[in-house]
Amino acid sequence: MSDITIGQYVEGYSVVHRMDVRVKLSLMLFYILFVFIANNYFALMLIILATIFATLLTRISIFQYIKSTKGIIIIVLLTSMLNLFYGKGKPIFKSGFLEITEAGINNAIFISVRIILLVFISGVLTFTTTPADLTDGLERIMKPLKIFHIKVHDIAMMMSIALRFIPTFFEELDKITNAQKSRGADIEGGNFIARIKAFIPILIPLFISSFRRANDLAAAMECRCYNGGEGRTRMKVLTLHRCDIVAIVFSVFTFSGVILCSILLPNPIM
Amino acid sequence: MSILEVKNLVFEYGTGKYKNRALDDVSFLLEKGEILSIIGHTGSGKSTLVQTLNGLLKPKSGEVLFNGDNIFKNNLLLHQIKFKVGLVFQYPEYQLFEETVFKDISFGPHNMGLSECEIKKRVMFAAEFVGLRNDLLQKSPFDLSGGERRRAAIAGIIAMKPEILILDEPTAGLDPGSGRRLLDNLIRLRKMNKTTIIIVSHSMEEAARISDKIMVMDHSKCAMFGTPKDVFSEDKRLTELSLELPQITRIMKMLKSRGCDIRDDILTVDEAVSEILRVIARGERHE
Repeated sequence: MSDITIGQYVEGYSVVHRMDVRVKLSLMLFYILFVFIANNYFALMLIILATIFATLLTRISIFQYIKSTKGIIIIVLLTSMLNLFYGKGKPIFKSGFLEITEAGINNAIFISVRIILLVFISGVLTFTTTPADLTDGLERIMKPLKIFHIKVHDIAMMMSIALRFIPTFFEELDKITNAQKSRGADIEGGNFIARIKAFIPILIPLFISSFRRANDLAAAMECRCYNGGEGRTRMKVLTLHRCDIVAIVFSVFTFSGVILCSILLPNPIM
Repeated sequence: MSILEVKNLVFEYGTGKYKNRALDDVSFLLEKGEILSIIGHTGSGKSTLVQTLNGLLKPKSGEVLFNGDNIFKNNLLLHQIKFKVGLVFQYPEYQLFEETVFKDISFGPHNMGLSECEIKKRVMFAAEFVGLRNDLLQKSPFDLSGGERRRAAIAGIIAMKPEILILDEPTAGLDPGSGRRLLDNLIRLRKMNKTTIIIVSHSMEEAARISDKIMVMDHSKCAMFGTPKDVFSEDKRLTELSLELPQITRIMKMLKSRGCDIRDDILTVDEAVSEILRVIARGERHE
């Protein structure tokens, strides 16, 4: 259990790795929007090309991306199956109350391509950004929410602490499991109820040590005069580079292309 | 037949690129009733070794023979060996979980399937043995002090009456008095039940004082194995392994190097006292 990795960061030095995390995050948000704005094959093609271009730029093996779609393949199949029967218009195929129309087929294709595209593009983000940078970027993007009295800094701090302590948590889990196994605790065997019961000797010490750790960490942070985000300076100051500007300009072109295609060309899904 | 025989043990963590050999061809023999101290710097494989001895970690190759039987032979033996070879982890106080100390100590015996009457007897014996007062048994383990919790956790293993008792740095984080009492108790346990004891330790003084055999681990290998006198006579080798002689031995060696006619193979303070008295008495006779 000690070989667990948090996030999916793949070490690398590509242009995408070096990009400002704020730019990456906001471009991805817009991208998600435009994946759903694209409502004909030309617009969709444009987005697909842009995605392929982005994945190639990361210099991470395409298999890594394909592997990440493995988990959602069932969802893709299921939703496209359902969509297949939900098109209006003249049926091509009919059996009982089920009917498949041209719009239904288009629907199914669109929904599956959209989901797969989303997985790919979130891969581009998470493969090239460490979890720590990601929370950092989130904090800065959400900064305007402060006017609604949302404590953006505190939320980001909690997220990064949670991420930091996941490996520690697993290490602890491993240690306690071994200690209880040494006292003859049978963890694998038995029926469902027996198995849940067998977890009590592991869960209780785990909870207690987590609370202890949280207490210690809070004390340690207070000792270093941590008092929230007010007036805090940053070690890593993010600046926009040329690659960020290029990425933004490129995306703006792609997105406008998607809008134009969607408005000017006919929509095959009803 | 020896109670424990370890033959060419090899253990690896991880696979492929991240492979890390934690035990490399470790072999040794231990007789019933002996006390073995395992010393070595951090990351030398001590904790991994003790976890293979009770079957928690399965070695890549090699054998662990308990009374002549390979403990990895079948699953039944592997389950039962945990009661025969009791392992007390580092900082065992963090594994307490029951509502009362009594229930927590009885967790091990309970898993052995003993009768309530026998369990009660064993809990009482173990608690008395580690010096836990009777009124503490009905308290929650989380209301105890750190030292008391440590004792309760060790009692949890002793209540299983293991034939071999392994303790991974039992005195870490204890005050010197509690540490000494704990070690004295272990020696008493050996006398009473002929329990074989293995202690992982960082303290040369402790190792020199209580053990019959000492094993020095270095870079996943067994670097030295022998009686304390043998091991501590090779001070050059120990320095190479970034370990030290016990303080008292170093003092005796210094005395000798300054021209005092004194034995320098002394390992405990008591021995040193009688040797120094002997030398002084001899000096007085000469005058």
